[in-house]
Formats: sequence, C-alpha cells, structure tokens
Amino acid sequence: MALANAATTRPGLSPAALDRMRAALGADAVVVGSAALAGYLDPGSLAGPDAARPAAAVMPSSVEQVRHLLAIAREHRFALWPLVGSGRFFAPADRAAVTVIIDPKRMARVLEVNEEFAYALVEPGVTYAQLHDRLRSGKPPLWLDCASLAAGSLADDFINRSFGYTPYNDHVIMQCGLEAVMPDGSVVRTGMGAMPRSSSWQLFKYGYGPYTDGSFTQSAFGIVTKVGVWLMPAPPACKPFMVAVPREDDLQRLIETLKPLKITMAIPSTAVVAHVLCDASLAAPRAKYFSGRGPMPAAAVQKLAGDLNRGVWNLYGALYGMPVGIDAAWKVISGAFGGIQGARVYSADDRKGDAIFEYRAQLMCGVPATSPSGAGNWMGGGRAELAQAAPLTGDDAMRAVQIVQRVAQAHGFDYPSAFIATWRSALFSGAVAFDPKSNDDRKRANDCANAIITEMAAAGYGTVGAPPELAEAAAATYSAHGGTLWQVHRKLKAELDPHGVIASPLPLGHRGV
Amino acid sequence: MNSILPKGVSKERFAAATGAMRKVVGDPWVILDENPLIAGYMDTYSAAPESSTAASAAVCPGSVEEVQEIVRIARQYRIPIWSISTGKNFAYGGPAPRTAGQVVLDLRRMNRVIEVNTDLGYAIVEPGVAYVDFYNYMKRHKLPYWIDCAANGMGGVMGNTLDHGVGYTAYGDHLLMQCGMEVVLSDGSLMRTGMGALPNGAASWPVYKYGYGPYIDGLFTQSNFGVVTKIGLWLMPEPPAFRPFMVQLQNEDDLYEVTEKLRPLKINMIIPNAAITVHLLWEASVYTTKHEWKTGSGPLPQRTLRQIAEKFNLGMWNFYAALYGLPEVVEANWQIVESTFRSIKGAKIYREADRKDDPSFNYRVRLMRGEPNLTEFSLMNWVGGGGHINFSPISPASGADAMKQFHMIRKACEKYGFDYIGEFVIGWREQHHILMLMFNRYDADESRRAHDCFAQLINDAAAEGYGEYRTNLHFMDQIAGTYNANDGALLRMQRRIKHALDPAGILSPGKNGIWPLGESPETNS
Amino acid sequence: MMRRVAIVMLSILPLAVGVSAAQAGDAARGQQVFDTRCVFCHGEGLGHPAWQLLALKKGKDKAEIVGRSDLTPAYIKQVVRNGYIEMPPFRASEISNADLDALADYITHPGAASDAKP
Repeated sequence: MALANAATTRPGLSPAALDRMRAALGADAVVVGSAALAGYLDPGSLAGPDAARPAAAVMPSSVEQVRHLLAIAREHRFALWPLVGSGRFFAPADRAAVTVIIDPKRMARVLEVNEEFAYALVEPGVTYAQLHDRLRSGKPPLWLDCASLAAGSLADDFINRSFGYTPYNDHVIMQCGLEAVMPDGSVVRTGMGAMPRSSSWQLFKYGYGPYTDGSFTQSAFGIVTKVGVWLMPAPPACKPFMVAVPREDDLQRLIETLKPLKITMAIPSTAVVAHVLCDASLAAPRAKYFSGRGPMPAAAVQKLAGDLNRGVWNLYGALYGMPVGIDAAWKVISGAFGGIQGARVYSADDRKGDAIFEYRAQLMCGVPATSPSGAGNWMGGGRAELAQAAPLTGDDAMRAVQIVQRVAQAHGFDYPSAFIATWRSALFSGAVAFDPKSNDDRKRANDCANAIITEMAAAGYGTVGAPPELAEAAAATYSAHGGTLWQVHRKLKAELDPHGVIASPLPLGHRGV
Repeated sequence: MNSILPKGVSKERFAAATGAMRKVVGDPWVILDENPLIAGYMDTYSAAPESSTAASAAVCPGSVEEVQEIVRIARQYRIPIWSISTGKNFAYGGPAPRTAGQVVLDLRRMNRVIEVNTDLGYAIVEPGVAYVDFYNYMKRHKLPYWIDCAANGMGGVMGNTLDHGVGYTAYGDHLLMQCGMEVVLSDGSLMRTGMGALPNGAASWPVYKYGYGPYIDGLFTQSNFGVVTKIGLWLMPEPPAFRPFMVQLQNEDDLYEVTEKLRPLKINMIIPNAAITVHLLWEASVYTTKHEWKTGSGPLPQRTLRQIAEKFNLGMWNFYAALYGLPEVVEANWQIVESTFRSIKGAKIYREADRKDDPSFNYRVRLMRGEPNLTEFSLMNWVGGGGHINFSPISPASGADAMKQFHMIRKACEKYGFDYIGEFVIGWREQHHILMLMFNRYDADESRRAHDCFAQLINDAAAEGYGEYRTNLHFMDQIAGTYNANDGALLRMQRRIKHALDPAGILSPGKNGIWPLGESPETNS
Repeated sequence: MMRRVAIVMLSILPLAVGVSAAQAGDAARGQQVFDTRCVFCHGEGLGHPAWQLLALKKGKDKAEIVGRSDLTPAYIKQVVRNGYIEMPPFRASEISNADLDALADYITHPGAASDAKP
C-alpha cells in the first residue's frame, strides 16, 4: 500500500498534547517511539510492515482517564483509536499522524462475577483466559463462549460481533448492559444502568426507551469501558461431534440436513462447517502439506483430506444437557447426517488424538482455546480475513463457495473457509492467505479480497467482517435505497462526535481531524 | 374547522397540511376532529381525561410510499405525527398520541403478512398485522410454525415488538427474535437495516440481524427516530412435544420460594418460555367480579381472598410454564420440574388433563402455544368502568426482590383504595412485575386516585432501584426522569440521536420522554 | 364524564364519511369479521370478557350478542366505532365501513350467514 508514503500536510501530534496526556495518565502510560508503536501494526496485514504508525499509544486505567483523554483530544484536535472495538490500527499517513491508540491493558479488571445470576461485568481489556481462570472454580462453573483466541478480549468480540461456538454463541444477544464514554465526556450506562441503584443492569437488556447497545457495536460513537455478559452454567454433559463428507459438492446436502436441526435448536451449538483447508490451517502452515505454488489443486485437496482423516467438508457441533436428552437428540442428529451418502459421523471417542477436533470440541464445551498452529499461519501469516452472511441453505452455501473459489483461484490463492451456522444464517468466513514477504502477493491479495467483497455482494452475500483496510469497500456495498443506512450511520456519528475524536476504520465521515 | 390543533400550528397551516395529506391517501383516510371516526383514536382506558391526548386528526396511509409522502408533508408543514400500528396497546395509551393535537399516523391499513418462509422459519410483516390475523394466516396456510403473541390477541405483531413486549412461548422475547427492519426516515427517505441495505440482500435480510457497521435496529424501538414500516421476525417451529403446567401456591409468602426455585430452571433453560407467577385476583376475574364479594370500594380483605381461592380452586399465587421439545427431553425435564416445585409446602401441580374445562388455565395454555385470545381482559370486569393502567417495573428474578416489590406495590394500592392485581413474568434472568391497576373510569375520584397511585409507585420503585420497562402515555416523562444516572447521560444521548435523525422534531414527539431539542412536556401542553 | 357525552352526541350524528349508501349486507362476510374482531370477547362462555359481563348484567340469554333481537344495526355500528365503557372503539382502518355493515347484519340476522354456507 502506498498510503504510508503519502505526504503529510498536517502537523502531527503536538508536544503539548503529549505532555497533557502524560500528566493525566502518568508518563509510563504514554507510548511513543517508532519501535514501540510498530508493535501495534501487523506485518501480515494488507497494509503490511510499512503501514503508517500512530502518533502514540496510551494506556488509561480508569473511566476518568478516558474522559481526560477525550477532553485533551477535543482540545488538541487529534483522534483516539480504541483497540477494543476498532480493531488493529490502520489509517492513512496523514490521519495516523494525529491518531492515538487506546490500549486496554490497564483496563482489564473483572468487576463482578455473579454465579447466582450467571453473568460477569468486565472492562475492555479482560481476556477469555483471564475470566476463565476466575470462573472455573464455581459450582457449577460458568462457561465462556470464546469467539476468537483465549488471549482475545470479550469486549472486543462483542463490539465486533464475533460469534463463538456454544449455545451462547451470539455475543450481542448475550451481552447485557454496557458503559461508554461519549465524545463529549459524558458517561452513558445503557439499559437499567441508567437507573441509579438498579440491581438489574446485567439482567435486563432493554431498559426504558430505545435500545441503544447495538449502536456501540462496529461503530465509533463512544469508547466502551464496561460490558456485561451472560454466562452459560456448565451443563451436566457436553457431547461434541463431527460429520465428514467426502466431496466438495456434498456441502449442499450437508447444509440442507443441518438447516432444520439448527432452526429447531436440536443442535444448540454453533455448527461449523469447515473446508479441509480451513481445518488443516488450524494445525500447520500449508508448506507442511503441499510444496507447490498457487492454489492447491483439487487432487491435492482430496489427498489432504485423506491424510487428515476427514472429509473435504467437515461439520462440528455439540449437544448439551442431561445424558437422556443428549441421547434422544443424538439419535435424531446422527440419523439425519448418517443418511448423507458417504458421510461419516463421529463422536469424541472416534477422534481421540485429532488436535483439530479437540480444539473445536474445547471451544464448543465452554473452554477458551487457541488453535494448534496459532491463527492465520497458512502462508506464513499474511491474510485478509473476510466474512459474509448468507441464508442457511445448501444452495446458498454452494453458490458462495463457488464464487470465492473462482475469484481466489483467479488471483492465485487458496481460500481456507468455513460456514459458521447460528440461528438461520451462516457466516461464510475465510481468508485470502498470502506470503507476507512478497509485496506482489500482498497486492494481489488486496485485489482478490476486494473482488470477493464485490462479487459476493452482487450475489446478495454482504460482507459483515473485513480487515480495516477493506472496511470502506465493504461498507460501500450496502448502498440500497440511495445509501440511506450509511447516511444514518454518518448522521449519528456527526451528532455524537462532531469533532471526530473517536477514530475507527469505518467510513463514518470523521470530521475535524 | 378543527377545534383541536397541534401545539403552535395555525389553522391555516394545519388545513394546508391535511389538505396535502388528503391528496396522498384519499379523502376518507384523513380524519379530522369533526369526523365522528376520530372517536376511534381516543385512549379509552387511562386515568387522565381523554381530552389530554385527543388527536387533531388521523391519517391512514395504505402503503410505504404513502407513509413517505405523509412524512414529507408533515416535515414541510412542521406537523407532529404520532405513529401507531394496530393501536391496541391498551393500558399504555392505545391509539392516542402523547399530547393533545398531535396527528395520529395510523398504519393499521398496512396489514399484509408479506412473507412467511417455511424453509428458514421467519416472517416479514407490515405494521397493521394483528396477532389474530397473523395466527389465522398461519393456520390458513397450514404452516408448521407457531407465532408468539401478547396477552392481547388484537395487539400488533410489530407494535408489540417495537415496544419491547413479551409473549409466552420460548420465543417470548420479541425483540430478540426480530431480524431486519424497514424504516421511513423523517425526510421521507426509506432505509432498511442490516442485510436489507445490500442491493440483492433480500434473502439475508430476515436471517442475519447485524449487517455491517453499527447495529441500529434497537434505536427504532420505544422511540421516535423513524417510522417502522416492516419487520422480520423469527418463528418457532412447532415442537414435537409441549407440556404446559400450573403450580398452585397456597400462601402469598410462597412467592419467595417459587421465584428462587424457578431461577436456576430458567437460567439453565429447563423452562424455556416466559414463566409467570400470577396473583389470585388476576385469575379469579375470569370467573367473578369484585361486586360479588364486596359492596363499596376499597381492597378486599385477606379473608375474602381465601374464600375466592377456595371457591375457584386457585392459589394465592398461580405459576404457569411449559416444556417444549423432543418427548424424551420433555419427560426428563418434567422430572426435574415436578420435584422442584413439589418441594414447596402445599404446592399443587396440575397438568392439562387436570383442568380441562378451566377457562383461566386454558387461556394460559393457549398463550404458551401462541394462540391469541383476550381472556385476560376479564380483568376489566373486576371493578368495571374500563379503567386500567399497567405499572411494570423490572427486577432481578429473585425471591427477595419479588417479595419486596409485592409488598411495596400492594401497600400503595391499598393506600389509594385498590386491590393488588399483579403478575411476575420471569425472563432469562430478570422479571417484569406487572400491576394491573383497575379502576372505574367513570368515577372521577377513583380515576384521580389511580393516577396518583401510579405516580407514587414510580417514585417508590425508583427509590429502591426499580425502573419500568414500558409505560402509559401520561407517565412517559416521569419514568424517563428516573433513568437519570450520570446526570441523565443516556436520555441526553437519546435526545441527540433524535436531533440527528429528526431535526424538525415531527415524529412522535415525547415518546418515552424523548422530546425534540428545545421542547419539553411543558412546551407541548 | 366526557366519554358519555361523546356517546350521546354521536348517536345523533350521521355515521362516518365514506360510507356508501347502505350496502346489501353480506352476512357471511359479517361472520368472518365477527370471528376475527369480536369473538375473543363476545364468544360464548367464561373466558370471553364481554360475554361474562353481559351475563352478569343482563342475564345469560342476552350475553351472546349474535342473534339478539333488541340490537339494531345502527346501535351496533355506533358502539363499534365509539367503544362502550369496557369495550374499545374500532377504527375504519381496522374494520372498514363495508365490513361494519356486514357485521351489523350478521349480529342482527345470523341466519343469513348459515344459510349461505354449503
């Protein structure tokens, strides 16, 4: 990306602004210096290692300090980029020079765990691993629905609307009550949190008047400082299972069979339908399986499936509750999937020693986990992760796969992908995986990801998750009715943040910075 | 010429605006206050005089395009328009606007079930679809899905959802099950949320809620930021087995234990639907009226309550819930449920076969399988005279909170001379406590007492940290005022959102305490 | 009270604009309106609030309004449009004037609906 080299026409962050932040937060809470700030960039991103660096990073430790930062930002005309919610930093050079990252490291307290009512109230920096440690000793222990990495932040996954794998997979539904500092410094508590002395802030989502919590997800209207999350009490039993089908085209039947089982909640977990490349990528880089260049040919994919003792498509789900209930549901479910020609249906006992299965099973049974190979290492770390929403039907799944495979292959890439089925839709999640050391690869990956966004949108599959570099491209596809939805988003932003002091990758028409 | 006008609007401007609206919807569908049909827009149940919420006119568009045109005209002429869908939000204000003079935008004619998708289990409906119509539609087409209705079968599917209403099946949290929304904005433009903003996104619109960017559907609930013209909602597949039941509790203090015993069953989803614990008189009103037990006003004494309970085989509290799912699972869960409630001293457990011809049990069963009815409105016969308002505070689903609220509310009711008639609707982790304050609307003193009682309850509740989830037109501001933490930061934010999306302040001014900037209840009365 | 006044006043006013000259009643249509708009309250037996109240006040023989000989179409229409104490009013947007005519016909002459059935 050439953006990093764009001429800087504005002055950067003033020394006075830095001094004020140091005075407010303490000198050690303000990070400057090229090397330290480079740590906030991702060399495997589309922007690459040469991306523009932020002017500074700050680590507030309290709501009061966040309010101070906003006041300083308003006065000195710079923007704050909360890592929690806005995600990895990315901005063109002129904007980057006046943007300060808010690192949540020092706002990482578990403020409350309530076992009786099964919820927690956390600060933005709290990780799954951290909360899990606190919960595991409960009787019964409370589970966590981990949507990313064990080291990921609960608040971040809620704000980004990432899905996890247990019956509590929909984090927006399972979130209850939040606190946000608004650009003008006011501290909003949503729902029952607006009622002084209420003991229902983490118990009732809607409060009185408009339900505004959703407006704080994938947005930059306020800096979220507390999030309430409902937690699932550990059930008496959890039975993870797997269904493997041998051919690419079996996806159609697999999803069609899954559909009524999801809609009736016979399968209460997220059902992940993963391509073998996606599964393989969890275990090891591609180089371990295949030494050729360009997209893996079909024969190699087939061979890989055989080597990994799984299908080209593999479904993972889990059942919960009392053994008698699980047995009854299992009869229905194994019967349904068993009816697919060539399908193999597995329980946990059948997959002993399969690290990929065990990783997925752990997530479905409420334990935060990180994949054996770490995330996104298929081609050495370069990747553009995308997700599109589609109706949960076999036809839609086939169509979506055919589009991305065609586009990815035309650009010379694999597209390890999986369908994340919840409720009535499937998120088709995948990654354009590229060699981060090759600028040519990176550029093609950028073109490829853009083409996927455009072509999928044309087919009706809107992108709902994209790297910051592509946020604008993704948003631009939501243009129906004269683009009224994003006009409304921008009106809200302009009203709530007239000086544009909260930055994000979304095209919200930041002003003033 | 109209005798009632919107605040600050001249007769000429009003005439010009309604004249322009006539051209859009046709003469019969602009109803001025000289037309007898305006009577249909009165709030016939509140404790305040009808005149305080009398509309200057009603406009009834028949299509989204007509709504857009009407909104443009209202904006051009600065006419406040109060949206209603079916207008059957009884106890909360019905079809009437927030203040006298506002023009009612009546969306009832837009009554199509646009789609029911049996493959994926969702529906898209227009504002005017009533539960009864939706139910009949499903039956007529023999669709294998249930609807989830409010206790008022004439109520609106969309209106109830937008007002955060609840039903009684496992899909009882209506807002949770809503997916996709179409909104006419204050400038007359049309917006679809979520995947609906994607050209060609129609198939994903009702199946994936969040789209890309801020998830703003919730902004259009209990608010006045736009006029919602369509919503998508998820439907519950007919379960293979359904087992409703009743637990009859003999003492008022049993409320504590039943609530405590219930909570883990709710949080663990053994009982997946909105369970309810209903006070004696609520159910007794299906069989009898107060006059049969007492002459004159004032609450019934305990002795009489006992007699009523005995005569109609009801408990002082009556708990209802249901199990849904595979027969084996229902049976296994039943073992847990039965032994849990059996352990409450004196509790009697009934199943469907035990109370076959019992109209109070029967209507609860019907609600728990999504069959609309109006049996609950037998309550209106309790004292007669039609008046009723619902006081509905939220609390943790705990026995201590239930008892505290019960005593607090009953004390206020008795002080003002009313019976306590209430129920607890227990959701996932909280409970809605619903007080049905019944009064004779044709008795001025009783109406005033009811109004005062309600106003006191709001303050009593707030002092204990209890806030209401929804309310009657006349108490919207008072309740908004109790959600005042951090110097009223949430309401201030909501008012700024109002300003961003409706700068002219024409859409349902005052809904839930949200007035346009520079306006207040005082400037509107 | 104001509401009572309104009821009396309206009884001497002509009915709604938009009513075409009294249309030939369609009792089968009227029954359909009754079954979707009225039956929850006016159906027979306990559990139907209006039936319950009428049974108390006027006796069980008058609790079932369908077929009552003492109700006139004009009265029925007026009550539907204006409400009556516990009963809410129904607007033209929910029961059209034509449907209201048919409903009044059905309530006063239900036989016509059953005759029309195969």
